[in-house]
Amino acid sequence: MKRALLALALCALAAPASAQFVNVGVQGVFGDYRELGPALSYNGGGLGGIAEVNWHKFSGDFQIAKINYNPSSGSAATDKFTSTQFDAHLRWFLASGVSLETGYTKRDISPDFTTQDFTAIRAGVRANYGLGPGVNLLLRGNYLAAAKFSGGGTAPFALELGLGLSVGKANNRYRFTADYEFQRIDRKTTISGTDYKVPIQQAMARVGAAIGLGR
Amino acid sequence: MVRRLRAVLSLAVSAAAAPLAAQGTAPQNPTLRRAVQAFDNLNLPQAISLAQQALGQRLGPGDQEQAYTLLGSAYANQPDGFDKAMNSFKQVLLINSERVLDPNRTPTKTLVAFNMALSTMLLVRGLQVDSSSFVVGQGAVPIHFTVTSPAHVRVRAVSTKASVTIDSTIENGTVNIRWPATLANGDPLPAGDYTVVVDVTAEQNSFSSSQRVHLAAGAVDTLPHLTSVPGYSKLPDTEVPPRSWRPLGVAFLYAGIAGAGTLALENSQLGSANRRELSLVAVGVLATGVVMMLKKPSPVPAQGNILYNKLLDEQLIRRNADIATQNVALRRQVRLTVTPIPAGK
Repeated sequence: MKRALLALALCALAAPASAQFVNVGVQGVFGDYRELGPALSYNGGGLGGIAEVNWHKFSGDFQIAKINYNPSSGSAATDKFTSTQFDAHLRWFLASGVSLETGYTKRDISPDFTTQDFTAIRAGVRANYGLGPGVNLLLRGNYLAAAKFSGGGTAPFALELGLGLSVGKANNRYRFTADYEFQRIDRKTTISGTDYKVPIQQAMARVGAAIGLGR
Repeated sequence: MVRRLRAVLSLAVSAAAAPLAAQGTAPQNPTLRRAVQAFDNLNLPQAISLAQQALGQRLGPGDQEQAYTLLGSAYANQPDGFDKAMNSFKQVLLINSERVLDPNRTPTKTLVAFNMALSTMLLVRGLQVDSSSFVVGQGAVPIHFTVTSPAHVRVRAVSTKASVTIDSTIENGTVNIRWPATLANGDPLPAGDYTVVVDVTAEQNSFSSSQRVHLAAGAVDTLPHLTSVPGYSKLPDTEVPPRSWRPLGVAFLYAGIAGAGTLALENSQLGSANRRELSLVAVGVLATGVVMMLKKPSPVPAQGNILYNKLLDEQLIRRNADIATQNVALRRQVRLTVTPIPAGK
């Protein structure tokens, strides 16, 4: 977590020298996490941060979120856990607000093996629509490839869906942001030659504010 | 017979005295006055003697000219005095190059000696700049003068503001020049006092004569530059678009896709999610869509108006360039008035 925060801060500090625009912000994060079946469901909240860089046709962001998950009501789960999720998105603007997107996601769980640590590479598209000066809507969809889990297994079908809102000054100096992210990961694992479906699903909302730096 | 001789002699004396009388002023120097008196009495040897005595004394330019004229006239009527007469007249012409003798009142011998002296000298005589008024390019200032021998003639107009060469040629006799009173580029000369200088050169001999003139320039009516194209005004570069449902529609579309996608992607094996996160963001998106729909739209660049304004600007630049060209021509069409300034002023 500390390393991730340090990387986020370094990005924010280094970027203005060469970047066209940099946004940094803090977020309140809410999550719903499910694994295996209805009995293992958690929800919780935490804090997050974002650093976003725009440079010509390229843009990218690094996000970090730390959520303290508790078993949700009606869940058979008994252990709490903390999820630290790091996301990286790199985009290349195509046209009409549509960008190709790729990136990386990593979720660390503490204590270990309470649920699955998870890493994957994402690839997809993002649409950005300007409702007015300083007001933007975002919609993105990614395939999560090369998924890896701390407990082993594979996920041939793993998708991510996102909805975002950004409202602020036209010059991008101050912004209110809200971001929704839904992940469905159809994890499969093999124990003693038998395949088991161990699906994972997470819905996360990030609500926060960001300031614009640089030119 | 005696009466007749006296009459002829009297006529000759009065004719011989004519060059002196032409000067019209009595000499200041007493010796010269006595010389003139001796000349009037036809006592030519005494007149010559007294005139030479007078020249040995301090004389003013007028007396000097008169003394040499007397000597020339006296020598011309003396036997073997022609060369001396010519030399005396040369001195007269050096003092006053404009000096002329009245051919009707001057004895032939005197006149011949004077003209011989004139023909052997390099002089500019009768420099005259005529008064004139004209529009630049449509007239010129007449300048006349006479060069007594073939020589290279250079005519200039000189002032503190400008100096131009009017003419440069080889001339002899009467010269007529037309001076357009313009600079080399065709612009009129600045108003002010000028000196028209005529320099003549022939081998080692040179002579210079000048005439001062005043050059006055009339007022020039130039066209003012335009700040806008008459009859046309610029349009605003931005315009406020009409309110539209589009922001709410797009918000619904985005939220709908996210909601439907979530519903479609939810794994039934994991039970139904509470969708708190989706609701939070989707409500925010829809609310923003409603606000943006109701909000007065921000002005957006009006491309048509921008192009129209650009065309107007280009037209204005073109019109002002035309006006600048016209003004250059108008400034050249100024009326100039040239007036000679009398000597001594």
